[in-house]
Amino acid sequence: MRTVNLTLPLYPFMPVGNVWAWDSPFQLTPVTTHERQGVATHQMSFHSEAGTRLMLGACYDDDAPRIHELDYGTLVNRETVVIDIPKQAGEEIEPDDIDRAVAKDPDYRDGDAVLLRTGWGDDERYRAIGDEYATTSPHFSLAGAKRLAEVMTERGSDLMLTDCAYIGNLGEGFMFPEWASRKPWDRPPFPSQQARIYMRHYTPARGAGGGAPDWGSSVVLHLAMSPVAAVANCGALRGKRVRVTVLPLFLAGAEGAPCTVLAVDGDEAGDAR
Amino acid sequence: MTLRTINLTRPITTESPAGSLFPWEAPYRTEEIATLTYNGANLFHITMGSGSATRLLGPALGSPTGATTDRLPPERLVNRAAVVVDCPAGPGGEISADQVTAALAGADLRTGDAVVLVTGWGDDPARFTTEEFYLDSPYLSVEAARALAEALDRNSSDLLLTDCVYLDRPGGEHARTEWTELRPWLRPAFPSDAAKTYIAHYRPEKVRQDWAATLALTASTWTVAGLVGCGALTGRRVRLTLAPLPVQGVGEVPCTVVAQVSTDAGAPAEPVFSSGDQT
Repeated sequence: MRTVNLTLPLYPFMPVGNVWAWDSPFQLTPVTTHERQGVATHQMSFHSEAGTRLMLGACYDDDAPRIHELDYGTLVNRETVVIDIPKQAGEEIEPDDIDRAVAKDPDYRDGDAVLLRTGWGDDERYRAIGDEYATTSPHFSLAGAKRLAEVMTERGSDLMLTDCAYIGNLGEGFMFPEWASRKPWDRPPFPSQQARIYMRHYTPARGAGGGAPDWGSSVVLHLAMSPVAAVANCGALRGKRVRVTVLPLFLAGAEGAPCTVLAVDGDEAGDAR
Repeated sequence: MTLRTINLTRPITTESPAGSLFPWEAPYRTEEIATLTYNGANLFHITMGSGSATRLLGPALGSPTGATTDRLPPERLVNRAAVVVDCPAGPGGEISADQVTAALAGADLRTGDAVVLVTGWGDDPARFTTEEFYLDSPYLSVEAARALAEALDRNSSDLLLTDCVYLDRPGGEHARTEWTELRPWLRPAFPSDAAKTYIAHYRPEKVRQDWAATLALTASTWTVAGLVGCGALTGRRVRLTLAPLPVQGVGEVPCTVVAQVSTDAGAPAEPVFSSGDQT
């Protein structure tokens, strides 16, 4: 057996959490330093869904469980099936992909967590292409999301991991053309005044809240399962079946949080306990 | 074998004084970016200190050439064999080298084990929002820290965890008297100008005293401080999984920690911070 870290590193202005109007980039401010004090401590600032993150129905439903209310027993050493759906920049995961690769996968067992591997998270692409890692990520079409929700619900699966940086429709109706497509200096991130003003105008009537066309597939997936987006390095997994641990930053009351994802891969991984 | 999963992580909440008591800390603060009512989704902005929660401390905390927390190999984060070592201590209690040595001698310590040093301090969630929980935490004397580091090294153990909120006496001698004992309005938390000014005058000679146990331990041993709910670890041997926040290039990060305990070992029906049903 071997253990593989599937988590995006958090470093200043890393792309996932740095492009949308609601993003606040990950940043580190030194508080004490080796040079002046002899110890290095930091203040961090970031978005509640920065990097690899565990997302919950509570993002769209105030009655859904939050980070501190989860059953952590279901997030440790979780039996997981790894399913390949290769995708390139900007491509969508469609119902045909789900029918072909997920519904008919002979290794998929009832109750499994499902790891959908597109290849996007491999080879440290996030460092190579920067913000485009977020804005051109493969993602789910609305129909693809609905089909995945159907299949996973039928199989009793409530946890889905993917190396897509985002699972929604990349703000294609409003937030991409109006905000994320602009030069970075023309869209200073939250808490800038520009971002605050944009968010005041970003209402459900204009694509917010998961309404089509911006994030419709995101809502479908959030309400059917707990998605974990922006996992990385999945190409290092050799087996079809692994045991995955997904542990979020333990933010009381949060509707989602950055998380660490670790997979145990190997001969015994698929038949634990 | 049936396992129960126990969350040993202190909840990170804006209701807590964690991160606001010492000048090098920063409290957990949030600001809404999008709300379900207005924008149809809940999203928020976070600021927090690297040391204001249950956290992983590594060699890079005290050394620019030391290993950063992202260098801890993943196989040493998951399903770690660990031994629970009882070392009871009350408010303000300094743990001596003799206490540590005796506690380890009575434990079922096996080669390579992670060691969970349990004082009992983190077992009452009602206290997590009080300043006393942070200021009166038991702590390690520098001799105890050295003894622990040496004992773990002899045992090929690279990981210590404890429910002490801080490894040293909270604030040490200098920061505690010069900063924390001021009225709260005279010591606003980082990034206040007051905190930055204090830090500018908090020089290595003071830090070496205030952080002596921390530096002695973390130079050679990965250390998790601020566990809670360890009273639920009735079994002497547990499996631990650590999930440090994946920040690149730092010596200290918040860390989620869970234990898996065999119910055969007497895990209670409703342990403190137990999360979930049998798995």
